[in-house]
Amino acid sequence: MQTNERDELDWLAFRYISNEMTATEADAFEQRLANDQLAREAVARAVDLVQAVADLPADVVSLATTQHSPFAARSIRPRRVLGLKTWIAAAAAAIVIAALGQQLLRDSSDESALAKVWAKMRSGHDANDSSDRELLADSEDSMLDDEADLTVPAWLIEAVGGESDSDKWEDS
Amino acid sequence: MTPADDSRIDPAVVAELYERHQAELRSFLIGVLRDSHLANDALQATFTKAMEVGHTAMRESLKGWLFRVALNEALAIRRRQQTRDRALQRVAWSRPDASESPVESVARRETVDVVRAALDELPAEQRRVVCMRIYEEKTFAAIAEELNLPLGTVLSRMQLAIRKLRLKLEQDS
Repeated sequence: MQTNERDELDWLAFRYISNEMTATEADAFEQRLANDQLAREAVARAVDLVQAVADLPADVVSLATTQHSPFAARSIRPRRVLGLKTWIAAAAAAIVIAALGQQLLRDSSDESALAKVWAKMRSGHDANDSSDRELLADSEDSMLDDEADLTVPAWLIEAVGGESDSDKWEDS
Repeated sequence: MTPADDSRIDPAVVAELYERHQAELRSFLIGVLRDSHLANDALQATFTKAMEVGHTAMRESLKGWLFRVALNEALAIRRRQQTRDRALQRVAWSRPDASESPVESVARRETVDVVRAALDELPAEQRRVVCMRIYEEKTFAAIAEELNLPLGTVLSRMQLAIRKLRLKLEQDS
């Protein structure tokens, strides 16, 4: 069996045991199970995998989903961290305003001083901004590199998203 | 002893089949029934049938025959007990099985260690989806909503993670 076929079979088996199939798909897969030993073995493998993950200690899973996860970092923000960030932002703003004021005082004869300082700040900011954009693009590329290998068909999205769990089994 | 008894499969052969295939069969039955106790019932019925009519299965692979009998037993149990409705309930994947032997228990712990290491190697975004789907038992649709991601992205991440975890398990087994 080709690797892709096997991947596809493992994925089907996982969706079957996880109730992530429509009733029609589940019935079709069970008909396949009646004749296809590889599909039966894929179901057994999927169960072993799910059991192994489910058997992991809670602290391991908690670490896996919070410490390394950018999503968790975005969603979980203790008040203390937010407060600290607010103070840092306020301090940075005060420093920028003070620097801006000093430069204006030093160059008060020049009416365009404010414009110059502003232009200088903007150019510095733009440079940083562009490097940030490059970094972000690199990061997104690496994250999506292997996801690009997979094209999720519309019917699959419909199958797992367009029907509630209860519908799937009650209809059959 | 009747002539029919003479043609029955040797109990030693059935015992060997049990030793060799019962763990995989049991996992398969849990996948079909989503209930470890019912899976045990189906497993017992399967080997009872093997004792009774296993001699008729010699033409094909005995393993394949056992799995086919097991599927039929599981579907019959599900019909009788209307377990499709029960399958909607929370699936107790991790409930320790009383019938698990010490050897199986050790093997299971080893598998858990391998999976833990394999999870660590996954990209964070894939690991997150795996844990939410399997450990937290959220649907793909719910995960997509919670992470504010397209459903297709969540499915891709899960599919990639399954592939990597399976390869890792195969390498270490």
